[in-house]
Amino acid sequence: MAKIPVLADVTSANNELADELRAELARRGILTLNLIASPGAGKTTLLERTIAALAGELRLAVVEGDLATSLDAERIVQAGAPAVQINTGGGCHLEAQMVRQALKQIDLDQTDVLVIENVGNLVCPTGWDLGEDAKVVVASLPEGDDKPLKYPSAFATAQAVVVNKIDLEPYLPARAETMRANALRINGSLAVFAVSCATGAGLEGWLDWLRGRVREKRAAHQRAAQASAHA
Amino acid sequence: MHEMSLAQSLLDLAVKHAQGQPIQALRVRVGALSGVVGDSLAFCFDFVSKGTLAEGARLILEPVPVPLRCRACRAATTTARHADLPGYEAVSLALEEGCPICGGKALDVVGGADFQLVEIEVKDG
Repeated sequence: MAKIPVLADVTSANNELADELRAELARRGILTLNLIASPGAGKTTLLERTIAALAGELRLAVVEGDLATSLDAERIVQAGAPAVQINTGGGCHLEAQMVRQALKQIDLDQTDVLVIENVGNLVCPTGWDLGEDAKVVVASLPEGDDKPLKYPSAFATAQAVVVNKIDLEPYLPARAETMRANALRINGSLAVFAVSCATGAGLEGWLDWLRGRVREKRAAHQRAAQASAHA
Repeated sequence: MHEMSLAQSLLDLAVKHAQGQPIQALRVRVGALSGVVGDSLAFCFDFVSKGTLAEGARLILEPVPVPLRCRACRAATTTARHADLPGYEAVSLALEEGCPICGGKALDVVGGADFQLVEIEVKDG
């Protein structure tokens, strides 16, 4: 019996492609977010709100992942941003290769922020790098404020959490503050925003975070451009 | 849930390194937060490996504890002392207990999603 060392990530093909996408998007100074949540948490509604609020300020483009239909992409287009729908059939997550295909249909020269709305699922998407700068989790209050403890991998790998549907708090046992504390227990560096996409409450904090990330991305892009000009 | 595609990726990687020799075993590291379900992976691997160099190969899964870092004293620890629990529960309990070095209550999860093919064993040619 002979042993052959391999020591490679099983998903290395996906990871290499994701790194290529990240480099390509960075070259254009585009901030890229991977939006992860359970079905029904409010990912698409958050994007509708965000697109409307930032109209004339930042140009968003959206890649929509769902098992079936182009309903979500239609909502995004209705809200005023370009969108490409990916249907995974039965697939539980998006992969980098699907995103690369979808990006062919998006005018990246007209894009400041690319949002990849993953398949509604708090488990599988966390294992697949899509070339994003940051993962953002949407967790809604009716799902329970212990969600971060029960699904820690999504929260552990994210940079921001949007706690949605806080307008329902009076009718629920769940508390937005408990959800925030539980998310921070899993990952103390998280930016947490308690919002209601129905009423618009709390969205300003989320929008400011997004603006800040775009500024950082552009600054890094300019530094890289200057460095290559001097080289 | 996506163990079938993971099993296929694992098989492709193993066959690529096997230099055409029949594979008898694969040693795989599985992080406690990788979401990979061992039994499901083994079932899928048996299925996708039929008729390949890895048909009938043993899948040796090595669980990897989740690395943690204390925000107060920066000590690097893991969930290894709770290895008997499922990954997510081990993390919850370790966070509840805090840092085993300084007692600090704030720990960051700094990994645990590993899913690596470490080595393969092939029949001596």
